[in-house]
Amino acid sequence: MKGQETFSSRWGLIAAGLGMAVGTGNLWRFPRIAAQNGGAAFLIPWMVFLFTWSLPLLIAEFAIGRGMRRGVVGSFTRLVGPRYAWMGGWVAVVTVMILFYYSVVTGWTLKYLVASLTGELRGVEPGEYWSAYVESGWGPVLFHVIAALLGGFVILQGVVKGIERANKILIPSLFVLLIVAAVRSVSLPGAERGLEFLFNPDLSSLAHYRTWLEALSQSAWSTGAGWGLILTYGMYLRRTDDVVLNSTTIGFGDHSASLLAGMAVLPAAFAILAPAEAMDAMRAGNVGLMFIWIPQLFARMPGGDVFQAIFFLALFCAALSSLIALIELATRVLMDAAVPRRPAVALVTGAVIVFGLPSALSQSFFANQDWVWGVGLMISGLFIALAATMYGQARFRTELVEGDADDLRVGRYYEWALKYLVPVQFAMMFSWWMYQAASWDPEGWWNPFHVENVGTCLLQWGVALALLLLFNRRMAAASIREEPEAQA
Amino acid sequence: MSTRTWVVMIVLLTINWGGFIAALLYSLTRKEK
Repeated sequence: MKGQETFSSRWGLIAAGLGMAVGTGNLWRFPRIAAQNGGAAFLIPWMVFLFTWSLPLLIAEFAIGRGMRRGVVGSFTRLVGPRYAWMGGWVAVVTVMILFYYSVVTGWTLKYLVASLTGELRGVEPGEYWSAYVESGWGPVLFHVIAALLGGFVILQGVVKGIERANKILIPSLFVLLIVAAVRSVSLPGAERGLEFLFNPDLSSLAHYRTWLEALSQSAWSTGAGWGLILTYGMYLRRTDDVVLNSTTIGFGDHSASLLAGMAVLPAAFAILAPAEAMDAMRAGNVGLMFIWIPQLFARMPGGDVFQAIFFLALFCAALSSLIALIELATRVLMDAAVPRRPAVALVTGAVIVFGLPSALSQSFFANQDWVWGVGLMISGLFIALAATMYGQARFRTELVEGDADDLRVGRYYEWALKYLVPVQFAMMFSWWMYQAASWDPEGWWNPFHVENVGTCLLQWGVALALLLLFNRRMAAASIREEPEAQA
Repeated sequence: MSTRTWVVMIVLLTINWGGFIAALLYSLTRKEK
């Protein structure tokens, strides 16, 4: 492949990888889920699953990207043959569907950052403010368009001048802002109640299967393992970049950011709110916690205006750095089909703006997409492990993971993890979410037009799979087409 | 805050942040083969 860009430095690669992994889920989901599932007791399985699900898949993605030098579809075509291009196509479809609504989420964080800086949130009732904003129609659309253009602009600059440069600014800023927010939170009078909640383990929670499955789901969603994003960044690795070491840095970095976010949110919630109110905040869902309860916390905190702006700036940095990775995945798939970067970015950004509109205009549509494709990611993770196994797990490890230039070795455990551990964890996690969905909607679980149930997943996944299988041959051929010219 | 909470907090932060900083430093300083 002519003119193939690579990351220019090790720090650039790590910053980009952390930018991909650390997203809004670290800030708005981790503290909630940890609080509801036994605090520190939840953190034990959450750390176990870093080694059994997230790291094996991150390593596999980096190794596939570095070895195949293609985006997700082309990599699957090269790794397991053109008959299985649809599996890479599935990974791409799921992540691109997430990209469409993630731009809306990034827009919300930008709106709240602007509102914090201008003092617009001062003195308002947060619940009413949020409702008025999302129901205004034009507000979420405007910020969604700005977010998509911002992400598209970064990707247009290429790997080094765009992805690497942006993440070198966003990621250190995010960590510094989270540290400032966490220090402020734990220094509030009464903050120890939140710390007790987060770090005093209720070991009886470990007897509940729900704690384990929530921990596994959080690890899978938060680290970005199985999304195809690290696979895409993996193709920009230099031959001398260490796959296992970089995956480990990203996995632990993501967990460290989650712990900081937990220390920024929970102590403040328990210091400022009554215990019952704090638990209500944790049960309010991602959006409810972030855009309704967090502004209430800051409104009651001394110096709250400044810390609110810091918090929403951190949230925006996390969202934008992940949005950049999502846009690059889609752009790379087009570039593999011989579309130069500039028109590819224009096409992707245009599609994000258009197909993100329903999520910007309807909270139900957003919730539906978040549900369907969030669970779809688990299937993506399974496909990545299956592809490595089909290639031959021993061959995969020795040829693609443990290259001559790699320092760290994963050993035989890795082959076992890919062949058995990942599929077993997938089966448990996937059937649990489907079982839960059936119990949320016992009468209409099959109805494909309900927001969050089994039927809507089956319909949308079925349509995606049918199209992928129908166009498999053409997609496989396009995915390994050489670029007409060097693309930077 | 109870001693148990302090101990668990320090252990968890040390494992995660220690792992992150160690891997980051090793990544940035390793000699390429």
